[in-house]
Amino acid sequence: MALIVRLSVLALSLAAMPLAGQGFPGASVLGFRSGGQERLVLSGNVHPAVRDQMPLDRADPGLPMERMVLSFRMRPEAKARLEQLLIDQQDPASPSYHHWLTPDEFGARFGPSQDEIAKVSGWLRDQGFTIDEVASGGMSLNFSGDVGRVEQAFLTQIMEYQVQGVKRHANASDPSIPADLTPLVAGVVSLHNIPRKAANTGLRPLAPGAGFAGSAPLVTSGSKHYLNPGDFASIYNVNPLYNAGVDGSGVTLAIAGRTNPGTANWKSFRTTMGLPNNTPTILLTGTDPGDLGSAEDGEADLDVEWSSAVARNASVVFVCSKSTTTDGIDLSIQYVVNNKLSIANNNYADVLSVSFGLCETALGAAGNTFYSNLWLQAAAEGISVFVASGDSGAAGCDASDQTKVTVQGVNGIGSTPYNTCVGGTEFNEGSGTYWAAGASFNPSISSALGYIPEVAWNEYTATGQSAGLWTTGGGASTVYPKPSWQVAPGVPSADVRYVPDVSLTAASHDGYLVYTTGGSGTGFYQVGGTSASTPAFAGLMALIVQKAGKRQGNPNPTLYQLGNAQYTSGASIFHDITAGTNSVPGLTGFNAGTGYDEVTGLGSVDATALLNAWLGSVTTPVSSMGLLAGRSTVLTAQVTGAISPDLTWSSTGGATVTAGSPSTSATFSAPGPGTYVVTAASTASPLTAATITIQVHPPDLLGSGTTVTGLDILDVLGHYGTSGAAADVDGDGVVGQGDLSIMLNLLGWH
Amino acid sequence: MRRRTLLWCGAALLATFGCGGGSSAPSRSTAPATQLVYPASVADSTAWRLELDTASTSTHLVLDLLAPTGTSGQGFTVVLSTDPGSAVWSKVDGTNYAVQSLFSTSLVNIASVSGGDLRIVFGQAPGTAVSYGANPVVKVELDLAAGATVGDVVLTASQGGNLGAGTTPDQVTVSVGSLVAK
Repeated sequence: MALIVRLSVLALSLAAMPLAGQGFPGASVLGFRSGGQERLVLSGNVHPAVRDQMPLDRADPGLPMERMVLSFRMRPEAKARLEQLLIDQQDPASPSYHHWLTPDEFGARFGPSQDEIAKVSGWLRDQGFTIDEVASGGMSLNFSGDVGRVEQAFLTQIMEYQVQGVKRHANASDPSIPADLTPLVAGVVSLHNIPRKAANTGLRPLAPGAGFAGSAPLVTSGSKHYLNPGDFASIYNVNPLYNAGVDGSGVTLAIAGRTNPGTANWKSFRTTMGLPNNTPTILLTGTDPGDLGSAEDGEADLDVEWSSAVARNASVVFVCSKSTTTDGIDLSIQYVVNNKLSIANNNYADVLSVSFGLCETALGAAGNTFYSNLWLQAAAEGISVFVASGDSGAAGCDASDQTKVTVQGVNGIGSTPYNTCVGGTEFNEGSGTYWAAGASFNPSISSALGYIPEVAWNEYTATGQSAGLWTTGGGASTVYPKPSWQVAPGVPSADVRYVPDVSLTAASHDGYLVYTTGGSGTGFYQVGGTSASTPAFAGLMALIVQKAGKRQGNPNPTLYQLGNAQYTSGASIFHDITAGTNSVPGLTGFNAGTGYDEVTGLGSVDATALLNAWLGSVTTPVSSMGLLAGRSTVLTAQVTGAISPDLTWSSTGGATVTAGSPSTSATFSAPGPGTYVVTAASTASPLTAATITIQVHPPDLLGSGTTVTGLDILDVLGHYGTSGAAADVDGDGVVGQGDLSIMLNLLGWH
Repeated sequence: MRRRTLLWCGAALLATFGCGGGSSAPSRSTAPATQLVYPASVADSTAWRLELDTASTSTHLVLDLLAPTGTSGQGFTVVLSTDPGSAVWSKVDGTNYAVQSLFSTSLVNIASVSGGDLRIVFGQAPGTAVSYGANPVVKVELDLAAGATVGDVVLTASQGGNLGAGTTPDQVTVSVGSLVAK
C-alpha cells in the first residue's frame, strides 16, 4: 500500500508542468498547467513532521476537513501603510497615537476588497466547499469540505501519518491554486491536523508532605519551593502596584485555548490563594470541544490561573475553540483578534496570551503569513500579544519532552515583529537566603523574601520520567527581518528578528503552583515552562493597560526603548540575566549575557519600575510660583513615557485654566488673591499628574507706579535659590520662580 | 523685604537711565533712503559695544553686542532704542528679535520689541558664570524702514546690566555707533 501511495504522489508531481515567469514574493515559485488552467504551487507548506516520512495510508476521501483557514495575502502597498500606522500609533507626537482600529476598520483599510473576497469565496464554493465565515479583519476565511474536495481543489494528496505516536492526516505535497488567485491568497493554513505544541513541562507532583488535594500546599517544603501568587508579587515587585489599586480592574485579558476544562479548578485556585472572587470565564467560539483531559487542561489551567493571579481583578476570558482540521488554538486566536469578547461590555481583548508554538519551518509559509497578519491586525487594534518562546532551547523545532535535537529554530507563532515573545529564567539561590525558612502556606504571606537572582532556564534532563529539553526557547528568526525597534546593547547586528523579548521564571526548580486535574487526581501540582512565564507577563501587561487607561498595542517598541535606555545607563527596570545558555546536548544555542540576549531577551522585570517607566510622568518646570492678581500666566508641562501627551488642566479655588493647543500648555487666571493648586493630568492616565501651587498676590504688592527693569530680573537670577534676599519679591522666604514670574509680569516684556 | 526690593529697583532705574552711548539730535531730509549705514568699528575690546557684523548688507544690519575682554556672566540685559520710522528691529532667526548662544540652560529669554525699543534679558539657570570670550553676547538685526528718509537715525543703548559671578548685576554702558540712513 505504501508503495502505491508513493507512486501516486510521484505521478502528481510529474503532472505539474512548470510555467516560466510566475511567482510572488515569499510564496509560489512553481507554476504548471492542469486541466487547461494555469496554477501556482504554494511552496513551503508541507509539515516537516511528514515531509520525509512514509505515509501509513491515503486518507479517506470522505473524511471531513472542517474550519480550514485560508489566509489572504496583504497587498504590498497596504502592508507599507499598515507598518507606518503601527509606528504612528506608538509615536506620542502622531495624531494616530494609541488610536486603535476595530477589526472592521482594519479590514476596510488594509484587507482585501469585497470583490476580492467574493472571488476567492466563489472559487472555493465552486470546488464544493462551504464558507464558514470571513474574518472581520478580512485577512482570512474559514471553509469546510472533505479530503476528496481538498485534494481536487488544491491538487495535493491528504495522507495518514504516524506523528509522535498519534495518527494524523496531512498534505503530502505543497498545494496549488489557480494562478489568478495567487495575488490574493497566501495559502491554506490547515491542511493537516498536527497540533501546536503546548509550552509547559507537564504536571509534576509536589514533594511528599507538601500537600495536595483539599489542603493548601506548603510553598516551602524542606529545600523545595513553589511559587504562589504572593511569591511572584514579592519577587517581581508587584505589591506596590496592588497597594495602589493597580490589579487589572477593567482590563480584558484573553487566553487562547482548545479544551474546555470548566471553571471549578480556577475557582479552587483563587479561593486557596486568597485571590479576589473574580473567577475567569469561558468563551466558546463554536462547537464545545469538551474536556480533553489532563494534558490539555493543565495548560489551560496554568494559563488562566496565573494570568489572573497576576492581574487579580482583570476580566480573564478563556477563549476556547474545538480543534478541527485547524488547531483550536489558531481558531481561538483568530476569534480574539476579530471579535468582541463581550457584546454586553462592548469590549475587545486588551491583552492576549498564547502558550503554544510551532517552529517557523513547521508552521510553513501559509502558517507564518497567517500569524504575521493576525499579529499585525492585533497590533493595529491595540491588543498586546504575548507568546511563549517554547521549551526546547535553541532546538525550537524539536519536541520539548524528548531529547532528540535537529536544528536551531524559533517559535513561529511568537517570532513576528508584532508580538512580544516571552522566554524563561530560573531562580539561582546559590547560598543566599531568599525564602522564609519553614514557611507554611498562607495565601496572604509570601515565603519569597524579595527578588531572587536568575539565570537562563535550562533544565535539560537526559533520562527518567522528566526527560526532555526543558530549556527556554530563543534564537534568530528565519522569516522576519529585524524590526526598527529591536535596538539595545546585546542585540546582534544581523538583520533578523531575535527572540525572546523578555523573560520571567519558567523553571520547575521553583515551579508554579497550579490547581488542576492530573494523574494523581485534582489538586495542586507544580508546572514550569514558558507557558507559565507568558501568561504571567500578560498579567503584568494588564496592570499597565489599567493604569494607562487604554490598550497599548505591540509592547515591544516601549520595552526596547526602556531596555536600551537602561543598558546605556538608564533607570533599572529589567533584571539582566547574564548567566546560562539555551544550548542543549547536541545543539549549540546561545548564551545569556549583558543586555539583550537570545536566551532571556531584555531580562525579567521589576513590575513597579516597568509600569512607572512605561507610563512616564507629567512634570512641570516649576512646582510653585507667584502671580499678581488681575494677571494671567501661561503654564507648561512636559509628558514623558508612553502615556498620552494630551493633558487636562484643573485648579482649586475657582481659577480658570484653559488648555492650549497642544494641551501641554495652559493659561491660568485667578478670581483674586489666594493660593491655587493647578493640576495637569494625563487624559489617558488620570493618576499620572503634576501640580503647581500658585500664590496670587494683591495687585499692589510692589506699590503702584513701580517700574521693573531687566536689572531686576538679573537680581532675581543672581539670588535664585537663596533665602532672605532682597529679590524675594513674593515674600515666601526663597528667591525662585515665583519671584521671577512676578518680575516678568511686571516687566510686561513677554 | 518688599521695601528693600522697591528701593533697589528705584536705585537701579536712576543709575541706568540715559547712560547709554548714542547719537545727538538727528538731522533729516525728505529724500528717500536706500541704505542703512553703521560704523565698521565702535570701540575697542575694553568696552561693551555694539559692533557691525560682517553678515550685514546695505539695508539690513546685523549687530553684535560684545563684552570687554575677560568678561564672564550669567545674564545680560539692555534696552536698544531706535526710530521705527527709519529702522526697524527684525527677527534674527525668524522667531526671536535677539539670540544668544552662551547659556545652555537659559532660564530667561526675553527679546521684546515695543515701538522702537528692543528690550533684552537673557539669563541662565543658577550656575557657574560663562566666559563670554570674543563671542557676541547677543545678536540683533535692523532693517531700513519702508519710507525712511535720508538722515541720522536714533540708536541708543540703556539700562545695560551684566550678572557676573556674584548675586547682584553690574550696570554697564554699551557704546553704540552712529546710525545713518542714506
